Amino acid sequence: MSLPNDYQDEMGRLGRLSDRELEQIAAGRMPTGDDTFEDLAAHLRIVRAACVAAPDEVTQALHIAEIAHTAQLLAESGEPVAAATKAIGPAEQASKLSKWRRRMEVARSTAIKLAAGMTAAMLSTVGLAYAGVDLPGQAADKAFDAVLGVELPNQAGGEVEVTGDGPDESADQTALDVWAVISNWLGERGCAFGQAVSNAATDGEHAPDCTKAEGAGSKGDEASAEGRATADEASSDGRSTANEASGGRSEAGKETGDTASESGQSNNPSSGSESGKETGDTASESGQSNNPGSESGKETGDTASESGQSNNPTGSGRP
Amino acid sequence: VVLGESFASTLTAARTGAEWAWVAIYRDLAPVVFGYLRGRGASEPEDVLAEVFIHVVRNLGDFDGNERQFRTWVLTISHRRLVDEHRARSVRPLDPVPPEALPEREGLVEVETEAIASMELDRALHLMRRLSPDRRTVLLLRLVADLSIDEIASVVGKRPGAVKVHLRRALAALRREIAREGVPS
Repeated sequence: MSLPNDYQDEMGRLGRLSDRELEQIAAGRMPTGDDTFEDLAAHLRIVRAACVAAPDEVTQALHIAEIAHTAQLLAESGEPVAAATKAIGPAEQASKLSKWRRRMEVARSTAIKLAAGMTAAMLSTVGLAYAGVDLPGQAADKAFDAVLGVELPNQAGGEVEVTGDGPDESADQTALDVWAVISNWLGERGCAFGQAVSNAATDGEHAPDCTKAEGAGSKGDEASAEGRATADEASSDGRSTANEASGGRSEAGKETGDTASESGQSNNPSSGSESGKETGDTASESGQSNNPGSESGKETGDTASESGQSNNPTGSGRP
Repeated sequence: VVLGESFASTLTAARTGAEWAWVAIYRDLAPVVFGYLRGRGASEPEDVLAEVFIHVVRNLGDFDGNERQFRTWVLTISHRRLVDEHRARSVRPLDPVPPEALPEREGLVEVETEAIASMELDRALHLMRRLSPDRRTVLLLRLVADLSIDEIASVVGKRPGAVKVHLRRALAALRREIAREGVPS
């Protein structure tokens, strides 16, 4: 039995115990070779012996019966008590609530995957931007910005805005002259503009001759006019040739149609016929015609007018 | 660890509702849980014990682990049930009838034996009851249920460091009480 004075430093001693020694003393066991806390450990053993005891037999029997009954009911109804390990997933469950929960799980899983995908896409874009990688559209804009202020050949026409601040004070006189020409030019930037710039740059030594360009332009106009005349001639020749090739027939038909009109009878159903045609003529003579759309007269029609019958179904005779 | 190698097969059988498996589990863990409940001062430890095991039966599907983890899980349920019981008792105070006064228990349990056991428990827990609830809880979980500091931390929902502090202070306080009153025999 220890005296009260022995415990003045009790917290200090307990504070120096390792975790293992602390656990041993709290479980009622003494660390090997140390009986400092024997009285404490002995008391704890008494407490444990008094506490740890099973309920009386009757209570145990009641408990076990109730537990077994509940477990059996749950096992038969397929409720969670029969769930298996994670290795094969949760067991099938009979209640409607579990099915509803399963659907919710699927929906939630899909939503999570979609959100994760969108987040990954956004993060990758941000990462590319942070790393300084140009996307295709940005690269094109950058290339365009790089040449901004430089006039390309196809930009020469029309009024062009002069950009930039011009040469600085350290530039030579030639540069200043060229800049003055460019910035003061008001008209269209054609050959004359180039000539003025060249004059300013070379003091007139290598100025281009705009008359050559004008001469080349006039030559082009002449060639164009010649070509147009040749085409007109060829067209008129072709037209006359065609007229020659078919004109006789057309004229003959027209005349025959006129004749039919005069006789006061025509059965030609063609609405577009502007003349009588030999078919009508034939009908006027024989009272019968089978030509459905003849627009012009033909020899065939002439022949039919003689025999009182026409079988021409097509009606050709275009020039 | 009592069930040892047979724990896995016992647990599998318990999941299918086998009575023998539940009897084995009950006989293994009921004394520990019952001791913890009594040590913590549950007013009706038998009823709380039954509630704990019914809860274990209903939620066994959620458990996955070894025997130590199963023991910790059951003690966690016990601790929470005990907290619930204390809260309920603070809201609706009970005035329990002594067991010997119940006519239906007459003849089933020897009243004299029960009274002696109760007196021994009271005497043993006399000094423990002077500890704060937190200190008493961690000390009982170590002493009765043989849980490690980490397992105790898991049961009570505190950090292991906090559990060690409670344990050291509980032992120091208990030693002071022992020095003052002597070791109860």
